[in-house]
Amino acid sequence: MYRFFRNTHLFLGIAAFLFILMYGLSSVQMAHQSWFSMKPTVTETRVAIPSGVADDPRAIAQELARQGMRGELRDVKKTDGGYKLQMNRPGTTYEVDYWKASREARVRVSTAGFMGLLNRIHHVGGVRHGYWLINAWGVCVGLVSASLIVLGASGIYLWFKTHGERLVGAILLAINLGVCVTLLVLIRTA
Amino acid sequence: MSGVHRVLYLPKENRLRIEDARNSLWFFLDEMHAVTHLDQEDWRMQWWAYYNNFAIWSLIAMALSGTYLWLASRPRFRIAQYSFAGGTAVFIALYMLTR
Repeated sequence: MYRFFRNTHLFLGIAAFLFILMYGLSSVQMAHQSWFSMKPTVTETRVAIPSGVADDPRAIAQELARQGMRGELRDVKKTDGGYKLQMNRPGTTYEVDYWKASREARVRVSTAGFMGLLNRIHHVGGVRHGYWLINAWGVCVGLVSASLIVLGASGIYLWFKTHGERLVGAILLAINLGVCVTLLVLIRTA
Repeated sequence: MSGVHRVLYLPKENRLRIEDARNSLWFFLDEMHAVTHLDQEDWRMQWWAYYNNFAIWSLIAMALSGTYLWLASRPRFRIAQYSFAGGTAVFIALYMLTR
């Protein structure tokens, strides 16, 4: 049993290494926002929508995706001249103003830096998004979240089986649980 | 974090009506896991923010030390190499596609 848990702990831990590091680093960024510059790079471009493309937001988004502007279609609004819509993927936002008359889209592209992208990946959840890449992240972070629970539980089991370190481990675990549960109860019941 | 107390003054009856709208436990835990700013007004929240910060640094330390322990003890373990390569490849591929 010990061998099984030790191997499971190892396989899950190193498979999830970069994902866990992503969670850790992005959490540091969120906890200490002044340490990092999170200003996105903003550019603007105009895109001609070919006449064969239908005049509806989904078709426009597909055409933009074909031209490399990939993301989940969101916040579609009808305007006097056409549509306003947004396309998102972690770290990149396309704000699109489309005019029916000229069949032209003005696209404002906001691109986050490295930490900004990690921040957005940290917040990805679910698998029912309109863009497959976000769903792929959703599957991975779901698996990693489950792995973290298994890693915690198997880590405690592995420590418990190391008899020489039981006392110090028990003291640390007791302090940790005591602080955590006490604070949670105090805040929940405040 | 745990919910909202709504207090309504009823002048005709000269009474206060207090409604206690409590967040679900899952919502509460979700909110609590995001408390990391150290300048909290409430001392319990401030302690919790310190606890969360400690947990963040611990998570990074565990990821790094765990990988070191693997490399220092069983670097030639084939299945472990595949696990590392697979997980790293998936992350890098998704990162590149997202970028």
